[in-house]
Amino acid sequence: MIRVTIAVIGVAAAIALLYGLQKTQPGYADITRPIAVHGALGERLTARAFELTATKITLAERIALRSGTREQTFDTSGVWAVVEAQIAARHESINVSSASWMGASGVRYTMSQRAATAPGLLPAERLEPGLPRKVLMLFELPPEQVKDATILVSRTPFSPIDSELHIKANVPTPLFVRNIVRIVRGTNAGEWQLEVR
Amino acid sequence: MVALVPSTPKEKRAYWQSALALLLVVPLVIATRSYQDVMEWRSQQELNATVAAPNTSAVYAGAEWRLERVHRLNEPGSDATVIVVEFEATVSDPALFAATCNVGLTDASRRRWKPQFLAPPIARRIRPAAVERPRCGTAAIKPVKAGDTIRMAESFVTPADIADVDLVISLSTARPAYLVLE
Repeated sequence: MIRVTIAVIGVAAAIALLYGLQKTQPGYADITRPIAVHGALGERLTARAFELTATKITLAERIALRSGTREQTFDTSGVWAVVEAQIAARHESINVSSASWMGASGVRYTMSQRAATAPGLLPAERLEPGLPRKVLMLFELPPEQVKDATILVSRTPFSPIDSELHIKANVPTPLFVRNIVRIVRGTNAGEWQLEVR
Repeated sequence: MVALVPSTPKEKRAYWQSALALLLVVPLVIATRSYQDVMEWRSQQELNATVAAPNTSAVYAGAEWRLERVHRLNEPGSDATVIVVEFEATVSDPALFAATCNVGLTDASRRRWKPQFLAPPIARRIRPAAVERPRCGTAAIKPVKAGDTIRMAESFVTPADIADVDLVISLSTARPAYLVLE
């Protein structure tokens, strides 16, 4: 009698364990999710293939691209977030093409395609090992998504099991929104600088 | 309840033999199922090096390769230097030579610089003849006859303080073997 009871309890426990395992099984997207590396502005974060330090976030009502005497302006009904960063490839030449702004509610905004001809944009910079570079990321956001946001940077948009940097973008409130941020092309190829008014 | 535990010596022996067989069978199954994928992965890797010492040539993928010249072009005020590498291959087996080509520049730190898609302006100014040469990928696509010598060049952007560099070449028909020209 005792042996039968023990056997029944054993089988029931096994069923309960297996049921629990099945119910809590993570989905494929979770299993192959990129590995997060957390940090904040000003911190040097190390991904598998590159290192990045986000240095500054400037908010503006409009963005202008100046090249020589020509200037192109981009307005927005929301707010522009201009993120400056230092980035370096670690082991081999790469292009880091994916950066998004994740607002407090979890909504993600990828980099703006509007000012795509601006110099210094992250996806356009070919990074060589040993040559750190200053890059820009431009996001066009509704004002309510600016606070408590996280900037996600990874080498490609879909990077299973690769690193993804999660940078806490601590934008102080009340939001200080500039009038205009000008990206001015320099005389030599690849040179540029920001003018903030 | 039926006794599922082996009791007679014969049953016991059968039980342990089956358990031991599992130790053999499970790895065999894994190997058989993944063999194809492993072979494919291997063909993308660079594992076996054929090294050519400086000023010598080496045979790789149906051709004899040699490093001709390495030009360093420094632009004052820049932390980067442009390196233009000229190399040639004398083809003996055109079928093996017609393959996609991966080229890289490495140094002692084992970092790898990939070639520039377009030669940088300083290279076009100072070494126009080198820049005229085809890159490894384009040269390998054109039909070649056995005995032809193909002259190629690739340009790289590297830190200015880089020391000795080696050129690493691998062709898709010959991987996992690869070539290092010092």
